Amino acid sequence: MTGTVVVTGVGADTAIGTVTIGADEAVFTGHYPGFPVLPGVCLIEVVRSVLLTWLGEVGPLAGLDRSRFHRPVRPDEEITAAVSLVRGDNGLACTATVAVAGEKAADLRLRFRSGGAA
Amino acid sequence: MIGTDRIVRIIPHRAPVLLLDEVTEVVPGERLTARRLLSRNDRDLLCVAGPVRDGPVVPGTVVLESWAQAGALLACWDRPHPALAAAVVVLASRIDRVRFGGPVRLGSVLVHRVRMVRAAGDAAILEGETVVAGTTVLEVGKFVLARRPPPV
Repeated sequence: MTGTVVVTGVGADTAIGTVTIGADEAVFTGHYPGFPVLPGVCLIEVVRSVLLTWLGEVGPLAGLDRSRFHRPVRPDEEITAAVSLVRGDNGLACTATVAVAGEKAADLRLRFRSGGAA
Repeated sequence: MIGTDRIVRIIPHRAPVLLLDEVTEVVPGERLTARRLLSRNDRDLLCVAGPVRDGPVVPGTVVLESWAQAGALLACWDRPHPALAAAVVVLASRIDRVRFGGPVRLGSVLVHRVRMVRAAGDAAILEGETVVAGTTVLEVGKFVLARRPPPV
């Protein structure tokens, strides 16, 4: 899946990233026919991509402690993710608020392992 | 064995997003076991921008999405839509207490176990785990999903 992540508004432990996932992406073909919406777990990938773009590297996903999905994300909607970091000895934790069209789409609390890919 | 021909009559997910191959056990309203052989397409399906993943490791998000589809299957099993599954959509409303093990590699067979905690109206609360060759690669503490007619 493509789309360019742009990171703005970087603070000490916070950043804001945006990305738009186009209607031509394969994921919308099967989720769902006639009603294309982004699978909720894709928003985890959006947050990870923002972290990657911002920090240069991020380890594999270790946990999703909490998530709330408030509103589906449709093709071609600009997704904005505001992330806050908590650095720990065992990797990195972050909270993220994801919004589209000025409406909150999801709240996520994630943990990543140190180092490595995927 | 219950294959994809039956699965697509129960849940609305379709290729390339349908991440289940077969159901090996089901006790409607109670529990379900389903399997998926992970392909290269599966690995790349949910990536959003960022560096393209070209290694043998499949992201945890793909494992979670596949497990969640098994959850949707159990939640919808005894109430399949009379006409076609595409007449409903299934949306996650919350997912809590998820732990990812791994790494999970291309060619692995995911075995998803899903248990119904509670069902109320068009919502269901599920829990479970995913095992690859005897190792737990995913644990899901609480998954809440809702069945809805698609908005016009």
